[in-house]
Amino acid sequence: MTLQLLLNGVAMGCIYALVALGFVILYNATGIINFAQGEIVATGAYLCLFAMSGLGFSLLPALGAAILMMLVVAAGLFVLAYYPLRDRSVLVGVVGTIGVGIALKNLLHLVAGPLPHPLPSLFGTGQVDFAGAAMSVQSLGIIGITLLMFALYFVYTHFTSVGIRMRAAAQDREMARMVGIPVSRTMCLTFVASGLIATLAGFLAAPVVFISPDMGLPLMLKGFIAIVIGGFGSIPGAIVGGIFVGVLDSVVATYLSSAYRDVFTFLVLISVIVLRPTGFFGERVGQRI
Amino acid sequence: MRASVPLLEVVGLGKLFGGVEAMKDVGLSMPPGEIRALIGPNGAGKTTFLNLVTGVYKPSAGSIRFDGRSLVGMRPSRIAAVGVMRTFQHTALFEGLDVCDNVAISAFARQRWMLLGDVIGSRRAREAAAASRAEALKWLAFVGLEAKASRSTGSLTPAERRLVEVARTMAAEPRLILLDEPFAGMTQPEAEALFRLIQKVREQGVGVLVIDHNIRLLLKLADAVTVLSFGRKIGEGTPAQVRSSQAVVDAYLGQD
Amino acid sequence: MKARYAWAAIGVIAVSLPLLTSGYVLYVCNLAMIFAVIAVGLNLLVGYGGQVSVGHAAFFGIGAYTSALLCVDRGWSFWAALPAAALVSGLAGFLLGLPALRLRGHYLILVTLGFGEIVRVILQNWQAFTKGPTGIGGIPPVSLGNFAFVSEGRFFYLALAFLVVAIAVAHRIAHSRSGRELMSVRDNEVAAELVGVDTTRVKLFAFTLSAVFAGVAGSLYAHMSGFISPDMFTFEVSVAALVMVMLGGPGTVFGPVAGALVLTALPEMLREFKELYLFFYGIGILLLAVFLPRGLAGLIPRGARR
Repeated sequence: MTLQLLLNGVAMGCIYALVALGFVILYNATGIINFAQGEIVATGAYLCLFAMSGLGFSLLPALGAAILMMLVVAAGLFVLAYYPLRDRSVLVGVVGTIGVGIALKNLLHLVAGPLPHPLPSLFGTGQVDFAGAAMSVQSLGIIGITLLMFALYFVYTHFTSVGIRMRAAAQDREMARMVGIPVSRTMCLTFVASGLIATLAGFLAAPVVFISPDMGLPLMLKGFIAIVIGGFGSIPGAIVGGIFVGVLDSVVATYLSSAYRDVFTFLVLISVIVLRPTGFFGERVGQRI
Repeated sequence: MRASVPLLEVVGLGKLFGGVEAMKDVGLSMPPGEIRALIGPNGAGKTTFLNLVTGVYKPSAGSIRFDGRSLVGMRPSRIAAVGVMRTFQHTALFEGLDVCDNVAISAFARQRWMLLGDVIGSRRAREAAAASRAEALKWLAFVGLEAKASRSTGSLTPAERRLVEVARTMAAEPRLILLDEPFAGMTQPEAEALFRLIQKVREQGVGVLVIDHNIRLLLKLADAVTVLSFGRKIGEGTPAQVRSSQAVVDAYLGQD
Repeated sequence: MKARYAWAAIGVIAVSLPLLTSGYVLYVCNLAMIFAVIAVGLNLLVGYGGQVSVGHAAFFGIGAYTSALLCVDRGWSFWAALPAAALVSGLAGFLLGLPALRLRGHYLILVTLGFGEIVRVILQNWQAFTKGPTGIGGIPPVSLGNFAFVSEGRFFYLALAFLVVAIAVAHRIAHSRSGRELMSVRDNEVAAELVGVDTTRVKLFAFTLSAVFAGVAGSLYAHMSGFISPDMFTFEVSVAALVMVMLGGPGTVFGPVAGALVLTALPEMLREFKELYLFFYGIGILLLAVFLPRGLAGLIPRGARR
């Protein structure tokens, strides 16, 4: 029983980790705290839905189509919103991305209506026997795909020339510019990558949480907690933090109280921030003068 | 006359950044009322030294004593309160405040904080703030900028910005000020004016530690010189001694 | 000199407004003034102090619930419940700010976000104490002896009085030592710390005060509306307060008031088109951030501000 619980918690945590990953790579590249990350995940989920019911694709091709559509959407968002906001003060960046989030959420509401839609799971609803416990294939699949995604991202940013440039630009924009890396183009690429990861997150989350215009906020909040626990700005931290949050959430909901689970996870967030603000792998809090 | 406690005494100072040893075994001892130059090629750790003394970084090793008391572990605002003030390599003024308030900020910090008074605008609180502003004006006059008191920081030339920073340090009634590349980008007359100003500061009984790349000026100004290279001390002495030190020449030539 | 006449004119219009309009318009004005109190307080933290909070609806809610529960459950009068509400929300702000303000800005954003959600969930679920999602009704109106501030017109003057006091306090603080230290933290926190400003104390001061303002506004709101429920104190409300501060002009005395007026009137006018309105609201916020980062005050030439 507990193994099953744990597994589902880890799976949910992987979804949070993907949300967090999209957020972290954008933050590292632009310094922007993207309050619309949840809505972008929701947009990704809706694009999958559209590809299926609107364009008639079956599940996996629908994901592909959604990813292509997201390429366009993300590029547009970058040009219209994120690029102009890149060097603004924290307040302006926060308010601006909140605005994007509100606009996206209500656009989805206007276009698709308020009712939730399910999306069938890529992995079906089957179960597998392991150590005497029944493990959901869906959960295993989610975990597998997430790990694959993180691995792919690692390979991309460490072994492809485009990816390496992305990393360099993220670490030090001034230096990158001096070395001749086209920084704005690289930022755009990073943002688009963030959007694609968000689409994947939406695709995996949809069978579990159902697609609705409101699905973004809770996912984003959990993603934020994952980032802080794992370490602000750290990519391995995103997955560690995400899984931690997923498991914690699962355990609290089952053994303590379903209604207060959010309170508990936020209390953990606040405690981590207070006790160990750099998280497990996070940035140094030191300053340069 | 009894042996006086050094104003600033640093022993065995070291700093690790990640795995990099940015500073190792650096020490110096400044008597009160001295102008000390800290020189060294780029990357020698001069600003790091300043940051360690003023509490921006915590040392990985060594001790820092100001007037006999240890500064290690103190938060920067506390270090400023006990009498150590500094300026910044890239001048750090408060762009939303006028010039006078920029200087008054450090004078404010010496006043008792009147929470309720500030909220309701009590006369005592307002008088205390006015007194600090008057102090600020006095120090602006000391650096020759009293005419710009009510202007915005945007109206200052780069050299004037540095002078305002100096006035700001003095308004805190310090015993030691640390100047981080104050001569950078100055014209000859501006540099000479700052030169004389630093001497005036010393006449006030305040010790001065200066970092800069203008070696010629520093060697003329300073009573004593400490030389750093790659985070280690490679020379110390009077300007004349340092000027003729082979180790120092090598360190600078090595840069090219 | 001209400014004096302008203020006098505004003052006269403000005071005579209830005689010129009625009912719904006054209700919107009252709501706007209550939000203006929140915005003026939040502006101290955000505009003058440069710290971002996206959870101030929590303090608004804490103030409202404190006041409502004391009056409905224990029969207190508004005049006793108000300072209690201010105290409780101020204390909450202080306790939250104490650990949170030692850290870098983006951690504060996340902590306040989390806190806002925690408060909302607690208000919703702690049925025994807060009466849960059904909310608290029957909150008595404010009264002074036999005179009850029941009608919109009467409440107008009450709200106006509170707003004027709030603005006066904010104005005093802005020009005081604490206000200057706050601005130095905003402009360059590291430098401020190094020249002797106790940056943590200053930020905590602003944070606590902004929580008090929001708590007072909450109490006023509860007694104006007669009914409160947890869904009135959501993340969206926190965002609205922040946008009000940004819209009018962060770090100015009247900016947040202007922002509150605009942002309260607009949704009321566009009520029926909820999602469409909200879509444009989102776009508007984005445009504001991109083109007018200093808010409406950014349109005023430099010298006239301050």
